[in-house]
Amino acid sequence: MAVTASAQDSFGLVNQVPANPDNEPAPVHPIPHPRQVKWMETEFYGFFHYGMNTFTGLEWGNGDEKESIYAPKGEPNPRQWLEACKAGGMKGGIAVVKHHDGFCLWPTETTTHNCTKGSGQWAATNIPEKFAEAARDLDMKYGFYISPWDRNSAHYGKDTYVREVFLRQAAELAQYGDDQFEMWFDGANGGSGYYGGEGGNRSIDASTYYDIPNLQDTVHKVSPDCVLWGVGDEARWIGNEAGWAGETNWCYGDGTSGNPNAWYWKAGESDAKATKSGWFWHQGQGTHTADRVWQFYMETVGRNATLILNYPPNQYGLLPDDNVKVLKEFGEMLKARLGTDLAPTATVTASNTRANGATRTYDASNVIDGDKETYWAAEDGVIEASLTFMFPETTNVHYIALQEFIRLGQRVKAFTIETTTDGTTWKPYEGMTTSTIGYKRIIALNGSTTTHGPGENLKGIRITINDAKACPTLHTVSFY
Amino acid sequence: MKATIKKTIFAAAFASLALGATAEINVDFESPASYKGIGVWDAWEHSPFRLGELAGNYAVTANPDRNVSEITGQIPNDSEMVLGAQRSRFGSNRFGVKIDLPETFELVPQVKYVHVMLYKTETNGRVMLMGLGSRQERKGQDPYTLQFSSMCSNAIEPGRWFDAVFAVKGAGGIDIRSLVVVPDCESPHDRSTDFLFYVDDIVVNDSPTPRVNNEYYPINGAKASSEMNRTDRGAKGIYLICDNDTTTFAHDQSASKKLYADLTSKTFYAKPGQTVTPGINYNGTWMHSYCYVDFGNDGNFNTSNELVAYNYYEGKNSAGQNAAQNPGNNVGKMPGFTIPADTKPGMYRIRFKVDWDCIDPAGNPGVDGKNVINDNGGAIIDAMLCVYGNNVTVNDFQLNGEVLAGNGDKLNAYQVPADKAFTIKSAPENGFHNGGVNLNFGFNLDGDAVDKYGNPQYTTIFVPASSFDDNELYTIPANMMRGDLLINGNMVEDGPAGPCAEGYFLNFPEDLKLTRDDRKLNSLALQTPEGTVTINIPAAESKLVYQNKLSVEVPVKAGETVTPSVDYTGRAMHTYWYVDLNEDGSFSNDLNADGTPAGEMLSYSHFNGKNSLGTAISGTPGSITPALNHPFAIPAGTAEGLYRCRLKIDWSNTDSGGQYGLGSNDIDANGGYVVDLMLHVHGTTSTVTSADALTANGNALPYEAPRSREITIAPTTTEGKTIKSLIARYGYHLDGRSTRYTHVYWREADLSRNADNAFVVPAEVTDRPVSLIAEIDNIDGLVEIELVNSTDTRYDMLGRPVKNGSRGIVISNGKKTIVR
Repeated sequence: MAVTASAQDSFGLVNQVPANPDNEPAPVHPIPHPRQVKWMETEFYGFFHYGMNTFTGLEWGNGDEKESIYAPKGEPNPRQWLEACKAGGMKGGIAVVKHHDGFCLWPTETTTHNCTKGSGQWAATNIPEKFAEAARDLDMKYGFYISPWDRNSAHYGKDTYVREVFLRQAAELAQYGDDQFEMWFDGANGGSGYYGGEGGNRSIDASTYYDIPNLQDTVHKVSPDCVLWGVGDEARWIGNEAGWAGETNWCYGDGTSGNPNAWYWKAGESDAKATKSGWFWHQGQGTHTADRVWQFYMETVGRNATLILNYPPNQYGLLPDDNVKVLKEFGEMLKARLGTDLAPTATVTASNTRANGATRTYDASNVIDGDKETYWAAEDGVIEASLTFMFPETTNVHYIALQEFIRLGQRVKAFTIETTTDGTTWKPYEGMTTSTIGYKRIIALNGSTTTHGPGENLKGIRITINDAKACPTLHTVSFY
Repeated sequence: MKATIKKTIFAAAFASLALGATAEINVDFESPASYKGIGVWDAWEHSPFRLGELAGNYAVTANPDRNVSEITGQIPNDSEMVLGAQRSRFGSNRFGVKIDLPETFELVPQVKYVHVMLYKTETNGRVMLMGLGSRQERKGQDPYTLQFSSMCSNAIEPGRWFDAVFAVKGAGGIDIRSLVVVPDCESPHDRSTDFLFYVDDIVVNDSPTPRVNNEYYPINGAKASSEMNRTDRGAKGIYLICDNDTTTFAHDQSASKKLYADLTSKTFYAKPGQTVTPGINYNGTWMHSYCYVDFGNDGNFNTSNELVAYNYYEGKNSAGQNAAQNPGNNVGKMPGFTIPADTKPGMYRIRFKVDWDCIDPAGNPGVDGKNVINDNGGAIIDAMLCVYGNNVTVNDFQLNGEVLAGNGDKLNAYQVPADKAFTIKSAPENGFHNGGVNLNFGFNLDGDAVDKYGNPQYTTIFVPASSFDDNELYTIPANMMRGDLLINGNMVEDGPAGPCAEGYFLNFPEDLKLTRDDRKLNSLALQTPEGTVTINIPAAESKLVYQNKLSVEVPVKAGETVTPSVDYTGRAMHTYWYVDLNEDGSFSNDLNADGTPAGEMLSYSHFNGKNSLGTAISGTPGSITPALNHPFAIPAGTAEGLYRCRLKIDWSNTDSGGQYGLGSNDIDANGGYVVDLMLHVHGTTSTVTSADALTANGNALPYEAPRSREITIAPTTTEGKTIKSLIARYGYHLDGRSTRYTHVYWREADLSRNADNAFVVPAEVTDRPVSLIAEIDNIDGLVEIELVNSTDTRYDMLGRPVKNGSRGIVISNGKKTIVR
């Protein structure tokens, strides 16, 4: 694009307007990269903390653990992990293949501190390889957690670590698939460790040490749809490890609610533990019930965040039976509660609709056609508009799910819901906060994220966008 | 044609570069050799500029602004040629003009500063710099890979040349080939037009100091946003010792986290020739203090003669003594200095600075990135110094009456001694009465309250009529009698006065009506531990912006929490609740740095991105509804009394008078309201007092009577005393006027006797203090009796009626007979 220009005495505005035959609304920047949209569509996925700590009972190994301690009592089976999670309604998973202790679960050339030096016939199982294979086989998304902090490596904190260890490890993992959806880089960085026997404390400036711009460039070249978590500002930590996001939640900024004025897209991911004793497996750890998982789901996925829920494999390399059982129960609960969309049975009208383009319409019916590529939009300058859905017969409804066409930016600031039981008298909804929508917002008509309730028998539902950054765009409205 | 070296950047540029910076890049656009290429670039992958749909508009062109700066008297950028570009509304928020550098520079872990002269024709939008390049060892890497995105650290306004400064760093081994200047890092979706911007003189060095000084009393960084980067150090306040009298102004830097604090609303006082000692209360060691006074009143501190005190610079203090490099816990202590005897009375900016061995009033910019004032935990705090003479010149100005000296003298350049209390008298003309006075004290009283350098010149306070005595006299405290004094009397035409005529002023007429129909206040309510008081707004009155509900008193005790609520039809408005706790006829709206109340605006739903709980609001201002109200507490220790309480529904404005006449978001157009009511802060008893010899329920006065209970009054002794009449004055400020700010604070009631012939204060008035005024007859024996020619009436020896059957006197046929 760069050209050499000659000086000119007068310089003024020129009229440069791109063609817009489809009359599409102007994007509200920042908007997500396509890989970030795909990442948000994953919604709910598993997290599998497995490794040296599984056998030491620690959460943060020091890095001086003997490799022989890693001694799986059976063949680690990532397929079993993913199958259980798929039954629980998850669409993918991320395997921890190197935690802060530096022990690698694949035959890396960067260090001898890896699974090939473990004990027993199952130690050398290549976890990332099997994990990726299983995910592809199960049509699930997959990715890896690789700790930047390495308490084992003598190189850590020195110039050589990033170049000779960390980036090479990332490159080795890339060979297990170019279709990874997320690479998880933990924020824990620097401190005490073994460090090749030198011990002591090592601190680094994480803002420069890992050369994130070029790590990002490398990862995206190898895995174009892979979002970096923890570094690179492509996805954000939701601000807690308790499994909830703010009811108001912008896809920019930080924390539980984000910041509507931030300048780059950084939607929230909520990491939470499904067990009660830590991120790694511990004897007698206990498991959260399906009802509790439902609450996690409603307070994360239902609030414009993704949910990565941790189920740690045990010393046999398997998810314990009680975990599997809860996941199955939750999967059935999810299917029963959010499995059948009633919206397509309704007729929908809009108070304002954008004029059709050459190849695209913006009709209200686009929100119930099951196609995420089509969407309803209002005219430019219209930031208050409503969609009215009428059921042919009284319909029992528990939940309303709204989804913005976020490829054009997150726009809605406030909305209201009204319901009618007789088709003429409308009752305002009171319960959950109805502010932002984003990728997805799920509203429970009983106002609860924990109880299902009897639902409401309705003839119609009206959704009014009361305020937006620009004309609203919704691609899907669902009723369950 | 250009000269080889032709750039004239204001001298600050060279001052900053002289502090050890080394320029590596210098792109001045004076010749094609100064840059490798120009173009536009957008970080958005699907930008029309990336897809080839739009080409962008950019060119090297003539400098659009070579005017002299009003602030500096210099030309900020005297270049002949600059790079012009068009900010397209079809680019993303990260669209800008790209400059391919003639030579690369390496991105290293140490911070470097890219300086870009920037002139924007529009918008205050954020300014960003992106760097494109590649790792040195990756030969196959796209040489224009995004390597950094850095927000400008200083404020850039349209219509002037600024030096935009960007801090950049990286892992090392990264060559930056191109820079992209983003003039407006905001979403352009609402824009209907593009705008031009200009770029010039790009240099990379180690100095964060902008080369162009665009403001008075600058600091090295943006005053509003520059942060102090230490948690173990921080200023707590500033002080000035004058004749052993210390005046201190608190400032908690650990709360604000900001390097700079503007305390110019605070004033120190001193006289010419007086020796004063400045100081800074500071938490930390290994730092030094500096004090400056702009005696030249030119918007800058000249280090040659306006650095008035310091405790360390190059081994000495300002008294010329050897000084310790580490002052230990005495970081903020400085030697005294003498106000020059020939200093003209006036207001002067005074600056207090904590820094490391640096006399630059703007703060140490650092050398090689070391000892930057921000990183060392320094502080810069500005306040005002009032230098005043021995006399105060007093004038008055108003219509419909005069304000005189207490002795009746006219106030026409009237000379009174400074530091002495001064009594004035309000003298309204016939048909008018005293509505209070505005006292303007300071200097340049006929000019703007704040001069062009941002220095307050005088302060105005309102003294309500209720502060005057019955002779319309008021005494101005001695500590206000400094500088000059201009008195503006507020003479109010006799007749009914509105509730905001003498205080609690509105910015709009009291009869102003809403101009929209879709928003309406239906009711408001205040819940306290004593219950909920709801005020309904009748539909017929709901068009009035001002709602006088002063007849409503909400009972509450000191220390209790009030939970307000509002029923409002409409959206996107904010609620503000005020209580005039100091009863001065106005509501202060001061806030702490974290947004929590520091004055009398005790609750608000949105202002400046926060609410009264100090919570940052993630949504936009429009996402807040009037239904959102936050509880507030009546401070413990609040005296019992009646307090004006105000609800204001307005748009992002803390002025209790409402936003009106500012050209946009007028309160009537927005559907806003101002509602006044009273809070009755009460205790558990009613204090009964009297100047007369009375008892209440048989107890001596003053007596703490059970609240809201009937009280029986009797003379202290019945011997020779009888109450002829009794008046109860009940309410507050019982010794003053009954009305304050047009509101009635106390009333009087003639008390009647009960069946036992005793005077009774009814329970309805004993929910507040009561003062009794009695007419008592003194009876010294039986000197006179009214003869009732009936043996049914008996009298005691004092002439008081007694019951039949009692011992006493009966009168029959004009004869007095003792009955035993």
